[in-house]
Amino acid sequence: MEMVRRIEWRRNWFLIGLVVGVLLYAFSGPLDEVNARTDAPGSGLLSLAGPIGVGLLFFGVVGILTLVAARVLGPIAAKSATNRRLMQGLGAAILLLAFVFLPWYYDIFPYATLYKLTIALQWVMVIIGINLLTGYTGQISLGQGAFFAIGGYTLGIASFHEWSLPWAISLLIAPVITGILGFLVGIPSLRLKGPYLALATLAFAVIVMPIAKRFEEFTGGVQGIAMFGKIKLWDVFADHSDYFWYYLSLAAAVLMLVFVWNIMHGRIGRALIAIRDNEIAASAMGVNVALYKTTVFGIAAAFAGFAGAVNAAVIQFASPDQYSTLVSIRVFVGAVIGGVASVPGAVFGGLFTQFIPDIAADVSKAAADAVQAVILIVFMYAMRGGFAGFVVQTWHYGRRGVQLLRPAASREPATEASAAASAPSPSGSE
Amino acid sequence: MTVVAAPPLLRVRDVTMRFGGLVALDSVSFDVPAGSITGLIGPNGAGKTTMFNCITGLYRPQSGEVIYKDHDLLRLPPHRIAPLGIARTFQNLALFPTMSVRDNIAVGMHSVTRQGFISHALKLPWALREEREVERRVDEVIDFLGLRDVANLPCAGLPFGTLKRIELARALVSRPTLLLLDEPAGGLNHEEISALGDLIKEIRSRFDVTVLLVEHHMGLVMGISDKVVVLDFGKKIADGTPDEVRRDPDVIQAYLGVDE
Amino acid sequence: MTDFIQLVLAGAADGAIYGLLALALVLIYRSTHIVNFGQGEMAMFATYLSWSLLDAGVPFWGAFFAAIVIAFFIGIIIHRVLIHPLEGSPELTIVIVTLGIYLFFNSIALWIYSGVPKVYPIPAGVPRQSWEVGGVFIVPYHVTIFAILFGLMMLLFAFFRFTKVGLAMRAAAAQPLSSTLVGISVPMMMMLGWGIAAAAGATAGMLSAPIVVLEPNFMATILIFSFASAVLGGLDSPVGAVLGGFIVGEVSALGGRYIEFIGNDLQIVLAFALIVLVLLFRPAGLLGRPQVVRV
Repeated sequence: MEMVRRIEWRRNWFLIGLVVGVLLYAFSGPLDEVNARTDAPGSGLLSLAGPIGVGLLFFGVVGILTLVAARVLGPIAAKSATNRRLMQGLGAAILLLAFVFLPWYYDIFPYATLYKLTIALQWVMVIIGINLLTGYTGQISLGQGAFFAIGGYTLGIASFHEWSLPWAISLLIAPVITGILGFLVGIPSLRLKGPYLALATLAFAVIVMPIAKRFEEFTGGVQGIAMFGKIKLWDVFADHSDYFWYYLSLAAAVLMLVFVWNIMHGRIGRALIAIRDNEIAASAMGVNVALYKTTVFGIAAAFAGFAGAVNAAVIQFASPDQYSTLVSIRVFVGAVIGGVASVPGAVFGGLFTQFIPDIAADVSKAAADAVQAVILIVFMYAMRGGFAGFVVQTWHYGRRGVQLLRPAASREPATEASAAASAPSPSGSE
Repeated sequence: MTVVAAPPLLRVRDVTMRFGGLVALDSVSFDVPAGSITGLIGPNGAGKTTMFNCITGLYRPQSGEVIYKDHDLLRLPPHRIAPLGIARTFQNLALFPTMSVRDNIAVGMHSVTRQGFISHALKLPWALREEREVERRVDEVIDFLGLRDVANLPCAGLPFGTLKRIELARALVSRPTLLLLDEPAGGLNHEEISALGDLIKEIRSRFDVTVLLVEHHMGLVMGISDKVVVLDFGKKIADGTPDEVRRDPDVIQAYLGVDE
Repeated sequence: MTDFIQLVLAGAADGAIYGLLALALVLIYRSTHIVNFGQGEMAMFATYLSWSLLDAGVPFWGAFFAAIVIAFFIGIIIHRVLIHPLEGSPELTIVIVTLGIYLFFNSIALWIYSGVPKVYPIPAGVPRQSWEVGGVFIVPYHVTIFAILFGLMMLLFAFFRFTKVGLAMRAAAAQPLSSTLVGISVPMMMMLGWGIAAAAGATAGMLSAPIVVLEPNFMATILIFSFASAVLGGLDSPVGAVLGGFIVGEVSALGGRYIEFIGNDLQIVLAFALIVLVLLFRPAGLLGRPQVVRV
């Protein structure tokens, strides 16, 4: 009993979670059978056990790997800045190779198909834009889904419905149009802060589809624009179109990630974070706050627009149904859960956005968003930095030394309680 | 006294600033001679920080001019002022809490560097060269102000005195022509204040900078300033060398008598 | 002319509903300085609960008031469990949590009730036949909406004006620090604010369900109109919210008719334009107090 009381929960939850996860996963089979025998609404809750188990397992494994990496590689990285950069490069290279060769082994992952992975990469593009805009510059935008939609419609209208430009040209026009539009949306946004900006951008996301439906002659109205079989790839790729779109999405996503990474590690990145942290001081340092904010709005919108265009090309359709307001909210949630101020976090965020609904659909098709919502809220309490923040925190924890138990308490319970109450503050400032 | 006779670097003319019915600055005029340390003093609410915020473009006064070299600062947006060679610190610290000390200081280089989104995104050679220059200058000022030990820590959580020095470093790193210090002694203890006086004088000679200093602490201002401007309830009541100001009956009545 | 009056009446009925939900947003903003993105979905869920009660044979007004009471407690629980622990967190965190509330209720409703629209009855005892007065048709249900809105306004007015708890809530919202000093429990008052707001929102939901159809996304559009109303009236002014609601209702009804481009589908664009224009040119809204920004 004393042992249990002394466990350092806050730092080691993922290790304990690993054990619980294994147990839950092991028992989820029988629970599913119980579930299958009843059909009352809400009985699906039982089958939550499996996904929760998988989730805990995932964090446990990632946590342990991070701890090991911190113990083994941490000292080397700490030696010099060159070492650290080399390791970051190595990490990025491994991740990139994993994605490059993914089409050969994706089927070892449950739920994964090449098609879904392609779309996940498109979410990565939208999310890295959100990271730049919200995570680094501090501008909350709940309207990225609108630019995604506009990108998709641009392809449809420019290549198939209204004009007949080559699709490749339209793919390039889409980010230009959404980029300019984003820049323009950014101008009124200069005067809005925090929740007001969130509100105005959410309203923007809401109005885009009614407008699209209204201009029926351009957008095909409620029907949308079908592009089935109309996108002719060059002969070389014609028989491998799914691979083509996967690698195109991968290349674009990588370019965008590198773009943001580079920007954030230099003069511009410092200026953006300065804007987020203290706008007045930033302008006193000579940062043109208005220009930077609108530019970042434009970049994020261009990313979302390109992603939307590629997405429409892949699913060969652009219609109001696929661009509900919820798309905006879902990618935002994905961004936050991946880690909104982190470049690698965007990769995780994209995968999360695409696959969580599938995983949650095991419980109930309709519950996907509820599961996302619960994960989101749990993250806001436990890991505000998202998944990327979790890895970073665990890394630091590993560097300082793993500590499973608190030092034996020799004082009376009263002081222990006050110590526990003040415990969050030192870790909060990490 | 030669410094006071130098041509003015900054000329403040008839600046009037009203907030609703409150007149924070009432037709204030003074000069900051080039190369001088000029002190701007006055009791609480005299309008010192308001004056600072007008000079740096954060407030727009209803009338008046602030001429720096050939520019009327009141016509410029805030971000256009730093590139002219004007740097400032803030009374209540305006650092960037999530950034490291080093990055905070590097933001101070923003006004004297050029490279934009594209050249940074593509890591073009000139962007990299500029980054190396930024690093070198940041290192220089870190060593000058003794911030080496904390350079890689995030700002949040550092002691107040250190934060003040970081702000100073951020202002100095761009090698400004005019340095505006808003209550640099605030929150410091006695020894720290006398060290600060020496530091400001050393900064003036080493960086060849003109200093305008808003300060509460009379000893510091009188000890290091070549010229002192006294504000009281938004009006200038005295202007001259520390000795002249100290003898001024208005000043004694408005300020010294109350404060001592 | 009668056509115009007819439009104005319809616009006012919509406006009353927007005003009610806007009132909920304002109550929460006043007590906790949070813009609650989940407000509409909370209202939607409460409306479904009342539908369930109706479906189980509970009489209309029983279900109506039961749902209001349940919504009140849902609001209190949400504040207690989700919002209160986040006090002092960055705005982004709080926006995200209210978005979480949005997603959660939206999908829970979809899960339990499916996406198939449900018919929600107009209150028992309200005639379905319109009254004709000088060529203008007055819909009795619209009159019901006004009556309920008016009653609720009076109730809230009396509550905030004359009851000890109401006064304490106003004090806690205006001067949290001094209120603590005189012994008012500010968190408790905030919690009550969330409860009352949820109850007002539920009322808005149940009143609008018969006009539109009851399906999990039915409040999403109304939420945008209500945001426009709240912003227009001033986010910290309850009277402004109701006034804003009427203005937004009229603007979209008349705009939809007389501006050809807008039509029936693009009224929400008017709401968006209103939000943006007000935030840009009069951020404090019509009746709100301007915020002073200090450097």
